[in-house]
Amino acid sequence: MVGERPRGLSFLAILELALSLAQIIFGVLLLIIGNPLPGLFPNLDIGLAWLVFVGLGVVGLIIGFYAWSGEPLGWVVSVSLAIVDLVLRVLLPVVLGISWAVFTVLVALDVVMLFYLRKPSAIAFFGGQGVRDVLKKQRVEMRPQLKEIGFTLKLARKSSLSIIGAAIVLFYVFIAIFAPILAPPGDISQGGDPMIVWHHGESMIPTAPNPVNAFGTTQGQYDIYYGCIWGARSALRIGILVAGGSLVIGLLIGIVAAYYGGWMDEVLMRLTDIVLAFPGLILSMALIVVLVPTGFQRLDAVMLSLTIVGWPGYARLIRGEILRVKNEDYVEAAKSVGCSDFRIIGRHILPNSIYAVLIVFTLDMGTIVLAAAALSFLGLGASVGYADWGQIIALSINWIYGNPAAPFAYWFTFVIPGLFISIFVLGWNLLGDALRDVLDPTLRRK
Amino acid sequence: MTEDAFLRIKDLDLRFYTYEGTVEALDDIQMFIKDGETLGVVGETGCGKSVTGFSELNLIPPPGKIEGGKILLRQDDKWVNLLRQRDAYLRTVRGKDISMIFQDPKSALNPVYTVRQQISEAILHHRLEELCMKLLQDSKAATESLKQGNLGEKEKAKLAENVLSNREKRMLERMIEDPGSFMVRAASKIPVLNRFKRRFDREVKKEVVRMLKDMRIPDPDRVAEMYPHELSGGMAQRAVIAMALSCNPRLLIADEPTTNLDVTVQFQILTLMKDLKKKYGMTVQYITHDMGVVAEMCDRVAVMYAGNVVELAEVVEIFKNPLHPYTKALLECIPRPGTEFKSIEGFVPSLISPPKGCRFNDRCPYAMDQCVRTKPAFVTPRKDHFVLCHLYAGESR
Amino acid sequence: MSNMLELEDLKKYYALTGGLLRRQVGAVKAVDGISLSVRKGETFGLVGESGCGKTTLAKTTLRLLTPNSGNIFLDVPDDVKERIRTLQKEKKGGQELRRLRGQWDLGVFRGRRLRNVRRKMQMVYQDPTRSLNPRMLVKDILLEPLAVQNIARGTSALKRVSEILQRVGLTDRHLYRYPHEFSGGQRQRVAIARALITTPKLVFLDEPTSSVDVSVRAQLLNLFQELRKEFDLTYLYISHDLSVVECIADRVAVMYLGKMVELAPTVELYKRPLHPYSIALLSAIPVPDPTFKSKRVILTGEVPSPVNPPAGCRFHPRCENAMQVCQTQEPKLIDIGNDHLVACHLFNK
Repeated sequence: MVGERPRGLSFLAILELALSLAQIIFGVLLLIIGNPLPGLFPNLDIGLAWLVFVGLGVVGLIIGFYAWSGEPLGWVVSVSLAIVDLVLRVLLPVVLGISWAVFTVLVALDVVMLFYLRKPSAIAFFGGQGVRDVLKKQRVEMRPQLKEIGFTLKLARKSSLSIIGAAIVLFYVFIAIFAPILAPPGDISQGGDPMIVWHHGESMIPTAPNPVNAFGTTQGQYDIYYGCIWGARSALRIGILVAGGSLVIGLLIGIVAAYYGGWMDEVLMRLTDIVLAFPGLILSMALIVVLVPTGFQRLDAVMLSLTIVGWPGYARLIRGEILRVKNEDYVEAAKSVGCSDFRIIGRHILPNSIYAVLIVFTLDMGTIVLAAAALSFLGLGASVGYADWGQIIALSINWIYGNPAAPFAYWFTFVIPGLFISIFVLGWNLLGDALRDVLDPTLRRK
Repeated sequence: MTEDAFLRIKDLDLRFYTYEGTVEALDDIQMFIKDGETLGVVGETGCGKSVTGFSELNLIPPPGKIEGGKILLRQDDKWVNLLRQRDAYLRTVRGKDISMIFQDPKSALNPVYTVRQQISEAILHHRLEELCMKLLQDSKAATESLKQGNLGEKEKAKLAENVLSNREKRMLERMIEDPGSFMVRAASKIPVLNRFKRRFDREVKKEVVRMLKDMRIPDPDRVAEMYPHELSGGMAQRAVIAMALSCNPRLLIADEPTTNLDVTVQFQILTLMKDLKKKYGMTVQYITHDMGVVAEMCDRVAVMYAGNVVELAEVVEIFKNPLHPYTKALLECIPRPGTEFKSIEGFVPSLISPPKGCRFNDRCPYAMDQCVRTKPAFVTPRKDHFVLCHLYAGESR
Repeated sequence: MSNMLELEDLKKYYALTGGLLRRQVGAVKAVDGISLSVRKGETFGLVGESGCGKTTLAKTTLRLLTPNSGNIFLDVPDDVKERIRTLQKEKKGGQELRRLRGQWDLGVFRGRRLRNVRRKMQMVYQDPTRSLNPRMLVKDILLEPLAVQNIARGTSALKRVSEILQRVGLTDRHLYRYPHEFSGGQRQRVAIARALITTPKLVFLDEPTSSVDVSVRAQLLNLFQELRKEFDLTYLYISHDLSVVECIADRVAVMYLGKMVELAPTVELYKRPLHPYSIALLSAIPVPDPTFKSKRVILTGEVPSPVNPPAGCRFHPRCENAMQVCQTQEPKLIDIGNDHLVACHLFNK
C-alpha cells in the first residue's frame, strides 16, 4: 500500500498534474505580465485571477501528489480540498469576465467533469477510499465506455468523407473562436460592437479584392472578409441555439406524447401537425414580422421563429423512437422493479432512442443556417451591416449581374459568402452522415 | 464417400472478415447427402449449421467469403461445383433444384404481397413454359373433344372455356419464347387483349391453391388471398413451405423451421414434411438444435461444433453409439426427469482465433496432447460412421 | 403449509377499439377466470401454447397489467383470505371488504403500496438480450433495483451486487461491461441476478432457458435449483418446452385459451394426462430416441382467436371426444383425487 508505486499513473492523474502545473504558471504569468489577451478577455480582474489560477493549481498538485505516493486522503482533507476546488471553479469565469454563454459552458463542463469523470477528490470524499484505489477503479470503470468510444472513432476514421466533414466543422469553429485575431475589430469598428462589419468609406459600389480588403467590399463598403469571418460566429450561434431549442421543445412534447399515449398523444400530435402544415419559411417570415415590432432584436426574432418552426420534426422523430423502445422487455423489467416514470424515461428509454435525434440535430445545423441566410436575404434577418453571411449576400442583390457590359464583375460579393455557407452546410451534412453510419446498430457489430 | 450421394461438400472453408477479426466460420468441413434421405444437421449457436445451408445456395453475404472447397451437386450424370458457377446459372438452381425455408416464417414472407402473389412469383420464374404449354394443350384437347360432338350442354360449356382463340395462342407462344418482350407486357395491360394473361393467371392460381391444399391448409382459396400478417405462425410456415416446394425441388434445406412454433403446431408441420417428402420424392437437409426433432425426422445426422462437422452417421447409430465426445456430451445434456442435469463445462471457443488443434479440446474429457496441437482427421471407425477425432485416428475401415 | 400465491378467478381482458370514436368493440379474453395456488417453496409449472394466456397471467400477477377482476393474494394469512372470500360471497361489498382488499389484495394495490410489494416478486424474461438495457453497464443494471426500492446505497449496495454476482456464477470482472459483451448464458445469469437482488419471495421464470444452448441450459437449471434452496424461493415456471418442465416442476397446470384445463403433480400429469388437450400436447413432444414409437395424437386446426372463443368448452371444436354438452356448457375444474384436477365433461360424475 504505502510506498508501493502504482504501475504507471493513470491518464487522469497525469492530466491532473499537468493541468495544475499549467494553472500555477499561468497565474504567476498573469501577475507579472498583466492581461495577455485583452481582445479575448477585456474584463479580466488581474488581482483575483492570479489567485484563482494558483489556488486551483495547488489543489490539483496536492491531489496528484497523494495519488503518486499512494497514501489515502483523510476525509477532512478531502472535504476541504473539494470545497476549495468547487469555490475556485465557480469564481473562475467571474474573474475572467467572460460572457454568460461561455460561463454556462464552463459550468456545464465542470459538472460533467465532476460527476462523469468523477474527480478523485469527490470520490475520495464520498467513498472514503484511497485515491489510488479510486484511480485504479476509474481505469477499470471507464474501460467499456472507452472501448465503445474507441470503436466508434475507428469506424468513423474508416470513411474519409466523415473526416472531411469533421475537418470542415472544426475549421469553422476555429475561425469563430479566433475571429478577433483573424479579423481584428480594430479602431475602425463602430461603437465597439465587433459584430458590425467594418466599413470604410461611403461608396455604394463594391470594390474588388485588394490588399486592404482581402475579399473585397460589398455595397456600402462593408468588408467581405471581416463579415465572413465574424459571420461564422453568428452562424454557429444561430445553429446551436435554434437546433438546441427545437430539440429541447421537441423532446419534451414527443416524450410526453409517446410515453403517456392516449388523448394526450392525440392532442400533442395534432398540435404538431398544425405547425407542420405551414410551409416552414413562410411561417417563420410571418412570425418575424409579428415579433420584431414587439421589441425583439432582429436576430433573436429569427432564432425564435425558426425554433417554433423546427420543433415538430424532433417531436415526431422522438415519438416514433420512444414508441418502439417503450415496449421492449428491459423497460418492462424496469417497471417491474418499481422504477418511477422519470427514471424509466431518463435511464432506459431516452438513451436508446436518442440517436436518430442526434443525427437530425447535426444535419439541422446546416439547414437552419441556410434558412437564416435565406431570411436575411429576404430582408427579414439581421440588420444591415451585421456580420451574417446571409446579410452580406443580401447586400449584393443589386450587383449579381451588375453592368451588362461586364456581367458578373462583382462575383465576389455573393460567391465568397455563398461558398462559406455551402461549405458550412456540407461539413455538417457529412458529419451527420458519418454519425448515422457510426451509430447505426446494424452496421456497428459487423 | 458413397456413390448414391446427391450433394457433396468437400473441404468447405468459410470466413467472415469483420471489424473484430476474421471469423473462421467453417473449417474445411466434409458432408454428403444421399438421394431421398433426410439429413439432420445438429449443433448449437454459432456452430455453422445455418451458414452451411447458405453456402450450398451460394448466398453468403459480405463480409463473408468462401475461401476454399467444393460443393458438388449431381446434375444428370455429372457433378457440378456450385461454387464455381455464374450467378445466372445459380438462379436456375435456386428454387428449382435447391430450395430453402427459414426459421421465422413471418419474415420470409413479404408483408405487402398476398400469399398467392408470393407463391406465384416462384412458379412464374421456373415453370412459366410448363404452364403455357399446359394451357395450349388443354385448348387443343378441348377443341378436339368439341369437334367430336355428342356431349351434354354443361360439358360443352366447360370445354368451351378451355378453348383459346388464335390470337391468345400466339401470345402464349410468344410468352414462352420471351416472357419479357414488349408485346407480351403491353398486351397484358390492355383490357381486351389481356384475355390470355387472365387465363394464364387463373392457371397459376389453380396451382397455388393446389399447393396450399397439399400443405393441408384449410380453405385454401381464402388463405391464398390473405396477407402474411393475417396468418398464424403455423399457417405462415406452411405457406413458406408451399413457396419452397412450388417448383418441386430436389433438395429442400430447412433451417430450423419449427423452432418458433408451438409444440403441437411443430408436430403438425413435421408430420406434413414427412408426408410431402414421400409424395414429392425430395431430399431434405434439416438444420436444428433439437435432438428430439432429429430423432423424429432424420435418417442420418451430421453433428457440428465450432465450424466443424464432428460426426456423421445414421440416426440410430448416433443415438446408440455416439463416438465423438461432443456428441456424447450433447446427448447427456438432454434433461431427463429424476436425474441431475448435466451440462458441458466451459464455453464455445471464439472463432476469431480458434484453437489450433481440435476445437473441442478445452472441453473434452478425453483430451490428449495431440488434440491441442493438430487438427484431427475425418475417419471411418465403423461402417458409414464418420468422426473427426484423434481417439479414432487410424481406424478407418 | 400455506400458499405463497393464490389467484382467484383472475380475469384480464384486452379491449379492442374500433370505429371512428374508438369505442370498445370487443375484448381479447386473454385470462378468463383462472384460480390457482402456489405453495411455498415449490416450483409450479405453467404450460400452454401461444395465445393461451400464460404470459398475460404472469404479467397481471406482477401487476405490469391491471386485472379486470379477481383476487391476487401474495403471502397473505389464511384467515384474511377466508374473510375476504366470505364477504365477497355475500356480495355485500361495503367498507370492510374494501379495506381488507386495499391492504391485502395485490390486484387493487396502487402507488406506494404497489411499489413496495414489487420487491417481493420478480421475473426472469425469456430473452436476456432484450431484457437487459443495452446501454447500461451490468453494475448499473444490478444497482438499479436496490436504489429504486431503497434497499441499499453506495458501498453496501456494491457489496450486495458483488455477492449476488458470485452466487449466479459470475465475477466482479463482469461488473464494468455491457450486456452485449457476454454470451447468452452469462446474460441470462445477469438477468437472474437482477431478479434476485431484492430478495423476492416469488420468482416468475418465463421460458428462461429457451434462448440459450442446450449445453448451457442444464447449467441454468441447476442454478435455479440451488438458488431456490438457498434463497427459499417459490418459482412459477412458464414454458412451452414440456420436456424441461417435466424435470423441474413439482406441479404443472395446463392452460388453453385463457382457461386452466388441467392441474396435477408432475409425475401424475405426465403419466396419466386426462384432458384431451393435455394428451395431445404431451404426445407432441419430440422424443430424442429414434426407436421410440408411440401413439401420437395429431391435433387438427389451429388455436382459435381469443376474441371469440368457442362456446361451452373452448377445446370442443378440436376435440375427438366432444359430446353434445361440450358445445354448450363450460366444464368446471373437478378434483378426481391424487391432487389431480381436470376441467372436462368426460370426467363429470
